[in-house]
Amino acid sequence: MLKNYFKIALRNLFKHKVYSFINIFGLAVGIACCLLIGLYVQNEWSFDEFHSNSDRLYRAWVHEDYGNDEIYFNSNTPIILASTLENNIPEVGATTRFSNITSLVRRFEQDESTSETVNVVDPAFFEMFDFTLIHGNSDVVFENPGSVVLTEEAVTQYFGNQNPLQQVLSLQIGDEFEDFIVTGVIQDPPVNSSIQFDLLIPFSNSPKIFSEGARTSWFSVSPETYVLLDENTRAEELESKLSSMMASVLGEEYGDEFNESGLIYTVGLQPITDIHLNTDIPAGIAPVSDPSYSYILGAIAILVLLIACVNFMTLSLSRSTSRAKEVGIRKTIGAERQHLMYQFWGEAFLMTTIALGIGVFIAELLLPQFNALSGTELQLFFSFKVLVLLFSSALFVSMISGIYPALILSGFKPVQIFKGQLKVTGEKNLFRQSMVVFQFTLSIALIAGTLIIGNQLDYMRSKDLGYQKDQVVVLTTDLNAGPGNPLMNVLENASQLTDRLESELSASSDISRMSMSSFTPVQTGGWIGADFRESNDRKREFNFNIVDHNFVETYGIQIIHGRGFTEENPSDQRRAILVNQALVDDYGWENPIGMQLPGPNFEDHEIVGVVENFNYESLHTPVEPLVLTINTGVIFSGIDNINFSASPTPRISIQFSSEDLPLLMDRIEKSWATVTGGSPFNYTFVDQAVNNQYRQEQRLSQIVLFGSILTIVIACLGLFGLASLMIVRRTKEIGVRKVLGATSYNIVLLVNKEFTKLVGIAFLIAVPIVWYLMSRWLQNFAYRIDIGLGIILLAGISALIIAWLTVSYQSLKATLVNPIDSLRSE
Amino acid sequence: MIQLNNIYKYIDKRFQRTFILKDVNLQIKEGEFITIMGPSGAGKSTLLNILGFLDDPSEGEYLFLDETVHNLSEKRKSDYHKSHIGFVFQAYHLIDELTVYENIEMPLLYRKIKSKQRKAMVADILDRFNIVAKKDLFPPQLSGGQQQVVGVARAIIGSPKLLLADEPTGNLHSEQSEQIMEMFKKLNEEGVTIIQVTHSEKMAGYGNRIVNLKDGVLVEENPYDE
Repeated sequence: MLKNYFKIALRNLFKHKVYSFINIFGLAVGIACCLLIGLYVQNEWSFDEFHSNSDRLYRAWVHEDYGNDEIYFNSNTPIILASTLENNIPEVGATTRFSNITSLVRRFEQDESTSETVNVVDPAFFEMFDFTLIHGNSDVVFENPGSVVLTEEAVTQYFGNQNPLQQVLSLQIGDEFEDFIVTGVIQDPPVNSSIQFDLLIPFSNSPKIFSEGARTSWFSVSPETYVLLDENTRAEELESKLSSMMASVLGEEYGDEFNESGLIYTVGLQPITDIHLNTDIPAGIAPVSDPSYSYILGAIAILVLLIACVNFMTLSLSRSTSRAKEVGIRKTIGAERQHLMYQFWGEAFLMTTIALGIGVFIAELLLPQFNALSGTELQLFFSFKVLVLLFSSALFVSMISGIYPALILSGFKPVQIFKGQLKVTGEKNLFRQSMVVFQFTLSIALIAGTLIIGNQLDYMRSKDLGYQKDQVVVLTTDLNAGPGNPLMNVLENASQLTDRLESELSASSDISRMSMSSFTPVQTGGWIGADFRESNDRKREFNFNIVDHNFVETYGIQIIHGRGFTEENPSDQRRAILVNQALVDDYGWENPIGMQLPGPNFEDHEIVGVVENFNYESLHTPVEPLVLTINTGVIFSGIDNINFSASPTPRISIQFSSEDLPLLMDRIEKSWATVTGGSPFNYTFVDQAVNNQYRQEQRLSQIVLFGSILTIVIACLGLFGLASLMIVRRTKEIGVRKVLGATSYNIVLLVNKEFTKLVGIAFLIAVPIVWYLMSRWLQNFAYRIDIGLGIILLAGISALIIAWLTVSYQSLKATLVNPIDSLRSE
Repeated sequence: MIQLNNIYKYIDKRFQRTFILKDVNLQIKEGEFITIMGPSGAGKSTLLNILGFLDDPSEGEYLFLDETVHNLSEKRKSDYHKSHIGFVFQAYHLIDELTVYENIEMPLLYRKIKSKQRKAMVADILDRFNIVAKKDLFPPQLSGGQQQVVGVARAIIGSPKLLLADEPTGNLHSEQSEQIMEMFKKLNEEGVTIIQVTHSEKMAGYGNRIVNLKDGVLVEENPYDE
């Protein structure tokens, strides 16, 4: 019997190739899409769950609240937190700090070095987490401070196929290079780990990395602190212990200000599995992902699959008349309804299984692109569990898509079939119509989204930013401030370096200007933030940048009032500052030239000029008040708080006018090598950096484009099915109309009219959705386009055209049928 | 075997009741070969469908082997279709996607007959009807007469007690028709009760009793004589 069903199913499959192809392909696309999104969502949700102790692992956070909205909430913690926890809370089984520093790394006795992120951890790191040591013993790898543990990837990078153990790597710690012996090799951290690393060194090196103050202060945060609690201890139970711990340790030093009841300084624990998706707690070293994305994506995946199922259903039904005879025959020879149900459901299952196979294949094919789009490194594994899952989802999908046609088909009465009185479906297929409306709503919304995002991107790329972004290259020096090496000195050195580079390159006529500054436009993290209190206690915030004489000219920034820094005025070096128009507006000054920042503690200084509001940060944010200064002391003297979101490593901007870029860069690189004596040559072009700021938006635009193509494909399949169903239903009507003299044009119009209505409804639903969602998205940008009705209209019209093309195929086919055939009954 | 008492079949449309069958009383004994005759629209096919459990009468009582049919469950009806009743149709109604062999085999599949026995039974029938050479062909590859032979083969493979044939020769030319009728005659001689619907007096001649139907009513006279 099964064999018989199977044969019939396969023969039907091959007999109606177009139908089978469309049906299977549609479902396969749905499955592929669902699979890819599922993979992504699963990855998001499984972050850090691979640790066998994941239920006992926590990351500490610190929260300081000084009133008046002065709150500091960090997942980076004081260095002494770990030892304090271990000494005061008995339930804490182990702790490790996890800190990342940027360091130059080179192989022993070689000159070439690369800049790497090095992670500084405690020995317990290897015990607490499930990162497996491939070589080396976790008890002893960090016995000596001069030890380094490499991931397999790092081993390949530095040692190729050689045995890395006991080899020497030189790491720049502070100012000096120090030799580290490779004592262990560790597995690469999995993709779904919040803790990512390449090189690990022991925390016992901290005196060389952190200043004495940082190592003992409760008000300087740097490493993440991970805690392994004893079994059967829950973090919530420790709350009171933690607060009394903080009260006692801080009380010793700072007295009553930090009493227990005030809870000004709080320490808490966040489960490790919570790190990746909890947006309430600030990100530590790894970025936090917004969980709403994975919910939305998950919902979309299920929706796409559901729609594919409904389309499958519609198409199957539209073909049901051709199977009706078989149903009649089977029933007259004794088939029961359930036999027929099994049969048709089995056929759906067969089709679904084929679709599943193709879907998996498509997913595998698209995975690299998908990874590029989503910025992940997902892989499809076919473990037993996955296969079972796939198989049961085929069962589930065939259940949804096959049961309804099976019910309808098996319910046919032989008498009606043989008399040709069969009604395929009721006239009111409201459900299927609303599905098509839904699909088109989604398509129109996504097309409009693609267009709007594209327009905003174009706008951002072409907007005049108020400075010259083309033909400027930025070199990053490796001069870092650190313990015993204050920023002043670093800047002084960088300034000298710039002078040397300038004279080295003075022969090059295509280099017009050169400037040293602490930050350049489009720095990730933004420029230095600072605030101070006026004598009337009013808090003022502004950003600032430490620059040199040439900065304004190198970037072609317009000066609205006053003048820029000049070398003719030697006092500029010491006391001149430039501010932007936003700062002037903020203070409400009529004539800012010659004024001072109104803080009580600022050293002697003078505003010599006002620059235009140039977009030194991305267009996401409005231009904030800004101060440009040469002398850091002027600013440092007067501010209360300073916030470096990125390292103030000096950078050298070079304005050029060369056509032959490779040649120019080659020359700069040579001069750089001469001047610095072999520092790594890292450079970025400002225009590229500007574009890179919107990488997330570009990615989004690609994803939305991808999604709109997908939904259009699926929506067209649905429409195709519905149209063929309708034509089956109206074959006779069309035949009669033709006999009565209707032209093909009339018939096509007749059929298309009905679907135009559906697309029209979809359009009306889509408009407010697009409006709302895209307006919200555009809120992310301080500088944005307006949503024109034209763009939404364009989306609607393209959807309509696509719908017409799809339906016209069916309606044309129907008109070409000879009315004799459609009107003949037995 | 079959007892029809006051069978009515009608369709109600808003203010009008259209009768298809009116007060039909009919008794059929096992081993009879009955021909139902009548002009188009007389209700022949409807009567046949009722006899074959494919349609229900609007009123009246139908006893099949002394069982009241309208009390039968769907399951029992299917069981009778499997074991007691075979159908032959004017349009053959073979499944186009199955070969001759598979079409004939199908009823046996629903009767859960073991594969080995199935093979033997199908081979037997193929042999008996001289269509062994055609067993791997699909219905569209056969002539109408050959298709109807397959149709008959399929109808009788389950050795039904009752064979219902709705204009079995309606689409065939005379030579093929005679072949089918000869087959029916032989089956009848073997003890199968046959009820056929036909317009053709010649085909009716093969049976041993004629039932005339006119406008839904059983009549004695030849209904074609106006």
